[in-house]
Amino acid sequence: MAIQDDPGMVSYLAKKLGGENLTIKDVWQNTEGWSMETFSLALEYSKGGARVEQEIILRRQPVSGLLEPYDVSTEYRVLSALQETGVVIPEAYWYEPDPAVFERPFYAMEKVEGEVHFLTQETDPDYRLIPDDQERAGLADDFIANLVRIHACDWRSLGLDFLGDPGPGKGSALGQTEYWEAVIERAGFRKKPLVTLAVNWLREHTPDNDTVRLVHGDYRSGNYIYGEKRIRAILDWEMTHLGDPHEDLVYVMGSLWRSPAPTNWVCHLLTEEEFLKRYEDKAGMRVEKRKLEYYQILLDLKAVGIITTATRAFAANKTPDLKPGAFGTLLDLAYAGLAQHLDGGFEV
Amino acid sequence: MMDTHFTSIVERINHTLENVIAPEIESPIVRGQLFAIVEILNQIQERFDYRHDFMVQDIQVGKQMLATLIEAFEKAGVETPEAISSETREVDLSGMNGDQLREVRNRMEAAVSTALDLLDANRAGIEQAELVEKDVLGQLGQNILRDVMLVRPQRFDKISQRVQED
Repeated sequence: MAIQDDPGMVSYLAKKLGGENLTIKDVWQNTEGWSMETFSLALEYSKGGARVEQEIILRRQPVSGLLEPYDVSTEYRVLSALQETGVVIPEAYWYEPDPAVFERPFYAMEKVEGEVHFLTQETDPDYRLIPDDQERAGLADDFIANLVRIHACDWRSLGLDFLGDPGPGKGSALGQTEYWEAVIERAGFRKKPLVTLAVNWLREHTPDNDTVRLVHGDYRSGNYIYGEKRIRAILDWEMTHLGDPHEDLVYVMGSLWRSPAPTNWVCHLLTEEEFLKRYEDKAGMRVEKRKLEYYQILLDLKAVGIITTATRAFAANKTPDLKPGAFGTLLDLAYAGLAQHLDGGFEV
Repeated sequence: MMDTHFTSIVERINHTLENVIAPEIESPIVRGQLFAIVEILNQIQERFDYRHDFMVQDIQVGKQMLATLIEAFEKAGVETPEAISSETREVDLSGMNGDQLREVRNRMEAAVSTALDLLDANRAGIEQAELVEKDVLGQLGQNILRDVMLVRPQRFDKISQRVQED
């Protein structure tokens, strides 16, 4: 049954929103995301004698996919905790664990008006994802400012220690290496020579990190809503964890979300040098080149983990969605990136 | 994906075409074309096979990698388990079909991975262990390059782009 026609969903939403005579005027499922299922609902209801029109977002746990096993409550708890930190995010309304309501657990949040950049593989040297330089500058300011706010937040006092404090020393890097190794193991790809070489290299070269930070884990163009030349909301908190901020810096500088040569702007916003310099100035933290090299290899392993999970989800036939199958075709590219960076990592 | 069997891939695609996409198509002509695709894929799926030459290359490189690793173990006095050394024996690959070659390739890769883990576990006692690992990575490199050259430009934007409503 479509959501609009489901009387159970209508009365559920009315109760949650404290409204009466609620109608679901429109529903559409967003197509941009490849992981969580995102639904936009246009609602109309009466409250306090007034007629209210409101759009909300429901983020539902998928049956299967790139980042399984899923727990949508983690993203909800992170968003709820960050409401007062200055990081621009949608307001998180409530979490619903009961699958009887909408087939699977979901949470509801504010619909933030604006646009999301759609990334395509462009090779035209004159290509600009953001043609207006003034707009690009404004977005770059906000992009760095929000990243710094995420890394600077006091995650303990915000109650985010449920994400798992890796502790000082090698915990940050080792925890992530072990996490992604386990993901690849579950997908059935651990016994590949390249994966083994990478896992062992990462264990052997683990850097220290004595200041554990909140790490977004998927911070890039395409994962924020913008409007009127500013960033309005940072999205996609599925891979958020506690660790080393260098991990996010390397992710931001990923090749998939750079503008084509000759600019090579990170996230289509600014040069790598400018990004790192401005981050250092704003965060009051010195970026360590060796850590960037380390986390590049870890992120290559993470890419292998996500792609092999997609491959397994596709092969297991848990859902008719073919997107994990298409995503799985990226595996050879991920292997090539990992091999290239790993080769540079051997100190011989 | 690249390790998923062809028949599974075709079955998954056809299931979605028939059960998810076809019911949404209003034009009988277009729906008929879609079922023509399903029929073609269905009929050819058993005729797909893995590239024999690629599998043989993978197996040969696997043997080279094992030889490199076993040499390092011998120099360091580390005993090579039978599960690893058995994969270096000569196997006649000439009469094998794609599935059989794939099985040998997968077994070879698992043996190399086990040997690399053994090297890691004995790192302190193996002279220039990292040099051995770099050598193994170099041997892998040619086949990684071969595979990446097969990747065609993605058109993921076509998958995710929202069709304008209204």
